[in-house]
This record gives sequence, C-alpha cells and structure tokens, in this order.
Amino acid sequence: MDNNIARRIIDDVLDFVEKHGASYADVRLYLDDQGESLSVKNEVVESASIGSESGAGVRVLKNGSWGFASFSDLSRPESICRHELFAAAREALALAETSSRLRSFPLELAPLGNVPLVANYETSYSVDPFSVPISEKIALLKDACAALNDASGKIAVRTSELTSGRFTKMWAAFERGLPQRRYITQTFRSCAFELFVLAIDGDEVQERSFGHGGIAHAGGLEFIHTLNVQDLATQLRSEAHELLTAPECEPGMADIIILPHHLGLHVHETGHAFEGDRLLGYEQTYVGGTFINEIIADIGSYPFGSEAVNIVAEATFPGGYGTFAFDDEGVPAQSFHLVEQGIIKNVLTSRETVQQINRRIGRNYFTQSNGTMRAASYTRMPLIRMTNISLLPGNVTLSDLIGRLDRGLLLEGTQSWSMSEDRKNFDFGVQYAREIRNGKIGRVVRNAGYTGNNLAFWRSCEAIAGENEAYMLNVPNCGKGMPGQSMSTGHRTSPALFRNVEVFNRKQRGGS
Amino acid sequence: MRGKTETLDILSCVVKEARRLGLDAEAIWSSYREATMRSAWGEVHQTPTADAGILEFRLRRGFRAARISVAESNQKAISAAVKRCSEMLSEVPENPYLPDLLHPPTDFPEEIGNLQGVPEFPDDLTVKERAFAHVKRSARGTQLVGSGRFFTAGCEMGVANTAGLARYHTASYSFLSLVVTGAHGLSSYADRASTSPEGVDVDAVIDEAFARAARAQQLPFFDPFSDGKGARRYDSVFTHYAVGEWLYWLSMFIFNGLSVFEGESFLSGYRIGDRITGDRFSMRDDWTHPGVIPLPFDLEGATRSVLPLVERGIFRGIPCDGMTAKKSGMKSTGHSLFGSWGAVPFCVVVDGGNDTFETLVAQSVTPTIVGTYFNYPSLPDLREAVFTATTRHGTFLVEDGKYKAVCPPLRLRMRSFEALERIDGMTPPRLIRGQENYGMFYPISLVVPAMRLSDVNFVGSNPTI
Repeated sequence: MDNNIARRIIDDVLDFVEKHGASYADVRLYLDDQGESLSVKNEVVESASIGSESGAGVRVLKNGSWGFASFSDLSRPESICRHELFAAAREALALAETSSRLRSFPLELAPLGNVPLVANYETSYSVDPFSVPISEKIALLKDACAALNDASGKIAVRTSELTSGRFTKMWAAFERGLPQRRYITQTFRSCAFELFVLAIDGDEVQERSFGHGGIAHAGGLEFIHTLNVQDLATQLRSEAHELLTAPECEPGMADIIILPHHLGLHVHETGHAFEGDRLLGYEQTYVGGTFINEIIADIGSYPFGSEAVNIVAEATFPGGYGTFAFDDEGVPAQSFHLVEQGIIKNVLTSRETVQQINRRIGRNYFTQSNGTMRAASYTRMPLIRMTNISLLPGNVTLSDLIGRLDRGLLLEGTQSWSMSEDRKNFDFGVQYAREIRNGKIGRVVRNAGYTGNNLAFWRSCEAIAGENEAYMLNVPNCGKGMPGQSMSTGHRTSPALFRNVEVFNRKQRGGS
Repeated sequence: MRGKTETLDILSCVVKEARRLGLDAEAIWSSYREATMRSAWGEVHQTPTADAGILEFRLRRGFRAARISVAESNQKAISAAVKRCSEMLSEVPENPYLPDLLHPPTDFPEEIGNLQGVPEFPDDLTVKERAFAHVKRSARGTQLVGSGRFFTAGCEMGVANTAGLARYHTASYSFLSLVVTGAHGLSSYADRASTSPEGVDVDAVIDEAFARAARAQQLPFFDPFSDGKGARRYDSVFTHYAVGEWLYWLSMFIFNGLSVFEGESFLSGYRIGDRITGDRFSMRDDWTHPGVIPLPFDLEGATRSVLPLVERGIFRGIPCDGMTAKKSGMKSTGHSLFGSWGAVPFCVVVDGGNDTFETLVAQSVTPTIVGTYFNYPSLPDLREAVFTATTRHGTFLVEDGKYKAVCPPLRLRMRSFEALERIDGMTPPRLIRGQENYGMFYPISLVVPAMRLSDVNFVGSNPTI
C-alpha cells in the first residue's frame, strides 16, 4: 500500500474513533514484512523459503479500557483496506466498551513529555541480504556445514542456517487533550547465522551451537564478513568431540565463570522479572508474576545484586534486537539502569502501568513510561517487552577472572533453561564446561548445569570482564502474552564470575 | 476465514500457476479468527482479536524445491508469489529427501461429519463477560482474587497439490483458564476447554480454582527445603494439568520422529517392541478421540493415522513426516509440520485408571507432594529424557492421607521414563488443550490422567524473600 494512501486511511479511522468516544487510539500498519530462511543440514539444502506479510491493528482506549482488533493483507484495493480498517476500529470500540464494564477503575495513560509529532527510523546496515543472490548464501552455508563434518562418523547432525528479516511499521495515534496527531515510521532489519552439531558415540550424545538462535545482529548481512565461519565450525566440531569423551561434571557447590553466549540468556530470564506488567499480574494466566513484587516498595534502595552488577535497559544501543527509536506507544527509546551498583532502580513500564506501579510502590516513583511497549505483529496488542537488557562490563579481563579461582568451572553454550513463574528460581543446562584449577583452564567436563535463587546468584557476582570481551546475544523468540507473542530482544554481557553456585549434572549422572 | 470453496479456489490458483510454469506445487492455506479476554487480579485489561490467513506453498522441479509464504490471497498476488518463488527455485540445489507429492487419498473420506463448516462465535463476548463477572462475584468477601483468560478461536486449513490432492478442514476451540491468588501470594489454577464458548464449563473452573485456593489459605506454610539439606525424594500426586505439561514436552521432543531418527531422543536407543516404561503406561496419538481438535490430515496432505506410541510399557510407534520417511526408510504416519521441525503427536491420549484424585491423595502414608501445575518445563537432556520444572498454582504436603501444609513452588528434576515405571495410580483421563498460540492456531490436545508417582526427585524450592 502506498504511504500516502495509508496515511489518508489512518487519519479517517482516527477521526472515526475519536468521534465515537475514544480518548486515545493508535493504528499500526505493517506495510512490507519480508523474511528469508535458508537451511542446510548434513550438506543438503533442506529448506529455502521466503515470506512476506502485511496487515494492520487498531488499539482503542475508551471508558478507561482497551479494545484491539486487526486484519491481514494490505495488498488489496484501497476501498477494501479502508473497509477492513473501519471494521477493526468498530470492533475495538465495542471490545473496549465491554471491557470497561469489567473494570473497577479506568486505565490512565502517563503523560508523554516532549515528543516529536513526526519521526522516521531505520536500522543501519550496509549489505542488504535480500540483494545478495540466494545461490551465494547457500554456497556459504554449504561450506560451513561441510566444515562441521569430519571423517570420524560421529558428527551425526550438522546444520547451518541463515535468516534475514525486514519490516516497516507505520504508527499513528491521536490522544484527547493533545492538539495534534503523531506519525512514526520505522524500518527494522535483522540477520542471524546459526551453526549446530550433534555428536553421537554409542549412547553418548552431545550438542554444540552458538548463541540462542545463532549469531544474530540487527542490521544487514555485513556482519557475516566479520565472522571466520570456518574457524567457528571447526571450534564447534572439535568441542563436540571433546564432550563425547570428557569426564562427567560432578554436582556440588562451585565458583563459576559464565561466558556471554550463555550469560546473555541468564540476563534475559532475569530481565523478565523487571517487566512492569508482570508486576501488576497481567501475566498471571500465562508466564507468571515476578519476585520484584516482594521488594518493589524498596525500589531505589534494595540490594538486588553485588556492587559489580549494573543491569541496563538500552533500547538505543546499536546492533541489538531490542534496538528501536520509538515503542508502540510512540514513547522514545531510552537507556536506563534497572540495577545500578547492585541496587534496583527501575522496572520496565508503559504509559498505562506507571500510575498502577506507583500505587504498588506507595509513592510517585515513576512519572513517565520508559518506552518498552512492543507488539510482535499487527495481530497483537503491544506489551511491555524487554529491549536490550544488558549486564554492563566491568574492568577486569577473562584471564583475571580465571586467575582468581583455585577451583571452578567455565561455562558456555545454552542447553536448557527453566525458571519459576516469579523468575526467582533458575535452572540452566550448559553445553560446554571446562574446569579451572589453580587459576588455569583445565580439562573439559560434560553435562554441566547450574541452578539456584536468582537474588543469591546476582549477589554472588564478584567481577565482570570489560568492554573488549562483551558480546550482544540477540534472542529472536522470547515468548510472552496470550495470545502469544514471539519478540526479539538483545542482551550484551561480558564474562562474569559468580561464587558458590549449585552445579548439577544435567543427565543426572553422579547425583542429582 | 474463507470457507471451503474459497480456500480451495485459492489453493487451485497456486496449482494452476505452477502448472503454467511447468512446475509441481504443494500449497497450504491456514487462517484463523481468535478473540481473547484477559483479566489481572480481577480487572479485565486486554480484549484483543485477530483475523489472519497465510498462504504457504512449495514449488518443485524434480528434487529442487523452494518455499514462500504470503498473507495475500488474490490472483494477482498469488501470480507474483509463484513467479518470485520459481525464480528462487533455480538457485536451490537438489534435495534427495524431498517427500513425494501425495495423490488424493483413497483411505479416508474427504467429508467428515460437521467439521467442514467455518465456526462462528457470535455471542462469545457475552459468554466471556458473564464468566468474568462470575469470577468477580466469587472473589467477593474472600481474600482471593481471580485472573482469567477466555480464548475462542476457529481455524481452517486447506492443502492441495499438482497431483490432484485437495483437502479442507476446520476446527474450533474455546478455553477458559483461571488463576486465583491469595493474600499470601500463592496461586491456584483450573481450566476447561470445549469446541464453543457456550460449551466451556465456567462453573467447574471457578469452583475448582477457588476451592484449591481456599485450601491453600487454610493450611500452614511449609518449605521442605528450609532445612538446607538439598535434594530429596517424595512420592507425588500430579493433577491432569501437571501431567499434561510433562507429556506435552515428551511429545514434542522425545516422541518427535526426526529427533528419534537423528539419535537425539531417548527413544533413539530403543527398538519398536522394547519395554520403555512400566506396564501401567499407554499413550497414543489419536485425532479421532472425542474432544480433541480433530485434524484428519497433515500439512503434506497425508491422512493422519491413529498411532499407538506406548502400549502397556512397550514402545509401539513414532510419528513420521514425508522428509523423515525419505531419510529413514520409514513410512509417513501423517504428522508433517511442513518444515524441518520433524513430526510430533498433536492429539496425545493416555490411558488412565479408576482412582479419583482424592483417592490418590488419600493413599499417601509417607510425606507426599501434591503438584497442580508445572511452570516453564525444560528437558536438560533429550537422550536421557530428563525433565525439570517448578511446581505452580498449588503445591501441598500430604501425610497420612491428609493435606498438612501448603508449600512454595518446588523444583523437580527426573528421568521421565524411569518415573513412568513408578506409576502407583491414575484417575480417568481428562481433556487438556494446548495453551500456547503464537500467531497461528495449532491443533494440540492432550487427554491425560492425574497420576500418583513414587520416588520423585525434588532438588529445591522457591521460597519467599
């Protein structure tokens, strides 16, 4: 759909809902959502697929309650799209009216502050993945897949994948009391490169891969040129072999150093606890609440972690899957501390949750939304979502961290993850672990996992390596909400040392 | 949703365009209409609806194949998509595992009962409003508060290809879940499903969730791990909800035909006919079972077979899709997801026993844990089928057949198939529907009993701060 036509229809719909009693409404048009996925398994191209999608969603606040409706396919004639959008608006108004009868207090939106009326944003990139011939990308993947193999016959499954995405979102809103409407257009780009090996020797099965959904980047295909694909493949293959014959990880209490390809996921799972909607019970019927509820009254002073721990929400940091210019309420992207030198300072908020959270805290701690409302598609309402939730680097090196340990473990690669509904109890299986003895890296051990209480975990963080060893783990599939929404988030971390953590054997060998 | 005629027209358009270019094609149309009402601590906060359709097709020339998915379904858009996809085709190497195109089925009637009409729920908002008002009334005068989710959806699916196959089916689904939270922060849970919103037993959901929450309020609080002594074993009674979560994870990852073939699954180490559990356990994939979401064919258009998986502890079968069949020499069982994710059972039916839930609880002479729900499960190791989760929505300590205390959520970690050797009792099975819906309707159903298991390994608790 042409942008001018889209703008005209949006304005007409906003006129309509305003006339029918809405105090606020926003319209999101996904104009051209493009995706491409190429997958090679055991040197065979098993999947080459492309996709495109378009659609629109209308969110209306009337009588202090939300209504939301959506439809797909903006490739149809203007008259049909106009009809569909008005139908969605009428349905959203009706849903809001019904909802309002089931609320005892109206939702109120926190003030916006000084925001632009019109804005545009695009993820920076230099190589458009959609302009690179598919044959070229397949050749890269086939080479990578072949490099994962060897003559041992033990690398049973080897996979290389490349996924690319691009979508443009046009957002517009009116709000009673504000003199003018707002219009924001944002285009997002992402690429991910994934390598995976499954090694089998008799009954022993071991996996190795990078990241959580691969090495991923908000931008274009240029990131692939920064990788030495052959070296990465060789590393995974050789580590998988090591694991097949490695001794078992012994359960017990241990000092551990976690590397960024896994630590980012631990930060991710912790980050969920900071979501303001979970604090208010919005996710009770699915993903759960948060243990922050138990400490929220002491926000600003409660010791969440050790002094080494600085956790930030950094939606403005380049390269992250949680990077944007405006959230889906038109609030500008921000960077702020959730935890500063160990003290909890913030939670993730939206315009409707600010006042409710202040009531839970017992004082006016928040004045404005910190800009974290995002929807996964035009069919979904925006929710509070993590942006780039990152553990800020410290000022030592990984070598320094290793040198501090007489006995310990170095952990890397996510195998499994499980959290309690309030995000306090965690349980992670990892792919690859090495012993540390007398300040030096020792032998590989297999089937390691670690578990415990998240507050105790973050309080046990002794030191974090510096900026030079930081890595942004981008997560493409964070699930939340009902109906479900799969969202992209980013998590920048550096290697970090944690003392006295419970380690287990994830195959249940040698104890629990 | 478009209905049968329009859906088959859309698919036919792809087939004709492909033929015009001298190509083979398989096309899938999936569309859904869904509506949710959700409340938090008694206040409705979301009422989203969605209406969307996706056309996905695979063009083939010999062993070369390329796929495309589009939200557009008009002739012009389909022609453009076929052209784009065909251009891609020339750049894609051959895939020797490409499944054969299926011919129209002779083994199954195309029309099945009343399952071809597009479901509509004109009154679902009224039903939901009434249900949420009922929840509010039930909480009045108590220290309890309800958070609910009432979801209704209808979906249609059509599959066609250039070999002349054309199949269409619809399904509908309504689901109410309720979490009741007490002043102490501990929660309770209940859910019920039906094919229509009017069919959902709202009273049963409210009665069950509030009764469990009231029990939690009346009991003293006890954390078994407060002694700091680490992992320990308890006999346990798990509700239908908990058993459903556990078996859902086993279905997706351990009974996944691709995972078995590639050697990653626990079942990779066994042959059909081997004993894998105790003889009380029998499980099958059965889309014809009353109450499950009945999709009679898979995304390749193959008739979905009723598939015994475990019979009285004996390994009997594994689901298979076209590509896994080509790789392994097995036959497709009609469980394709049209992708690289393998083949999974979607309609899991487990034989139950004759005990009531309270009988299972009453059998607890030694300290026993009663768990209502499993939160955020995971399989730390697929080859050993190790399962972990924390309990949620009501964890109780029972002794001498009586509820003694309410516990915080507890983490368990167990080898699943060893645990299935230690089933001491079961209730009759009950329908549990899959709950996760990430943008398209997946017809997942489980019919499972509540179970009493001996000697379950608990490794920690989740105490309050």
